[in-house]
Amino acid sequence: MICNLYIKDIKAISKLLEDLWNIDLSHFTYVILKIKLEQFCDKYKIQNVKLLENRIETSPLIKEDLLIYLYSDGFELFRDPSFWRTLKEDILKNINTNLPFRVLFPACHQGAELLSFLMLRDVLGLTDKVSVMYSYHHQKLNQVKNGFNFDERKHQLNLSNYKRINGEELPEKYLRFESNKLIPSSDLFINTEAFHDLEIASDLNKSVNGVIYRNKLLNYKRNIQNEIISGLATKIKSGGFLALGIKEQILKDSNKELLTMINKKESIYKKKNVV
Amino acid sequence: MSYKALMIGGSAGSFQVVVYILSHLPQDYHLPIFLSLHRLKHVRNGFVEALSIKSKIKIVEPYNGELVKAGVAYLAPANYHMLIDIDRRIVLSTSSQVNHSRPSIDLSFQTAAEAYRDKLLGIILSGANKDGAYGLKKVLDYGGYTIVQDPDDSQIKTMPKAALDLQKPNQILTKEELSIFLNQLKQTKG
Repeated sequence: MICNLYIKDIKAISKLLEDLWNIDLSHFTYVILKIKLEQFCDKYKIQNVKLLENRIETSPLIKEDLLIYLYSDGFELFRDPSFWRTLKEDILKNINTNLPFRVLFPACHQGAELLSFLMLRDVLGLTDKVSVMYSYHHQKLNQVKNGFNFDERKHQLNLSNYKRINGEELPEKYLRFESNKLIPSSDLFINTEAFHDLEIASDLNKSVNGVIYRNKLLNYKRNIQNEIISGLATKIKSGGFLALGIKEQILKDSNKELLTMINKKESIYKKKNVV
Repeated sequence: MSYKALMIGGSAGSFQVVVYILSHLPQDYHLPIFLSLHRLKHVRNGFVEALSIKSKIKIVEPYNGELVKAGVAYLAPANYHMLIDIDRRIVLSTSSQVNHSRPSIDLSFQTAAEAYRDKLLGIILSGANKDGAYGLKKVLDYGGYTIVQDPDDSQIKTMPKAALDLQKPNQILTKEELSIFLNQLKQTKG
């Protein structure tokens, strides 16, 4: 790291971003915010907080990239293959295809999880049966459909992950590379709907059969995690599922009363029947 | 100086050293131990079990947000960075790789250094890349105590040598000396 940011620096930058662009960073844990901002500074060779403040104030174009650093993590398709295997075998293969089945992906930025799901959905022949809703926190972050910069050399990991699900190769038709951009097939986005939200799907009116929200809570303070889970729980139908990251868990007792763990290894919960 | 936490970073060739160190520490060791070790990203099971065979200390892969406890060794989970927040909770992250690594030893050391300042003991072991060198320097910068495994005692010298290129650590020790040092620390400060 060429830039070291300290508590007072993080506070100053947070205030500046809120004043300038109305970006509220108070939900991030300190250490996550520090690491993300320092990595951002590294990319732009910004050496101290004063230079960072100056860059933010004088270069509006930097906003998009900063948002990506703040709200996106490492891009990896089919991360945790055993989760995707469980999702496929225990949930998707057992749905009643005569009834509507809707899955929500909140806070979908680069959308590795969304793309993974859409490909799996198509492989299973469920594109017409399972509708998908995904949300993004900021218009600049709604990159998933149009593609985004991705090093093709890192794609082997995605292919290997898919193969670990059940030994099959990922069909080539789903993804292509153009000028260092990874571009998903537009066919994957049939029966999908994108909308803007504030991480907690607060403006979502339709209830859903499942929510996939993996490794997003890692970034947030405990009280915010509880709020997010409470918000998502209200959107899930009785008997529906919530998938968190394998190292995430529901903390608050009132949320545990709504959602019961059905697979500890993969951190999958089921919405209890609400009378 | 009484320390509040011990962090060990290592990569290729460090596994046997970590096993040796853990097997010689008492069950009621007075510090939490963070193990930021490079590992295969897609292999989730087996590492804790392998480390636990000879260890008297409980070894866990933490969940995000766990509060740190003395006498527990926290192994960075596969494919996650393990960070220490200033409230001394463990925060995991799926952010991009650092030094081609996730977990990144640099990130673990850097964040623990700020959280524990002069109460952190940092150790770099054998490894085949430079991850951890910068982080260990941050431990020293914050007033913590740093130890590098003697490159001549290391199966792979790259990581200890990279650490030595960036700083003059408080000590350079073999694995046997490391074990004695950590046990004496217990006897003196416990």
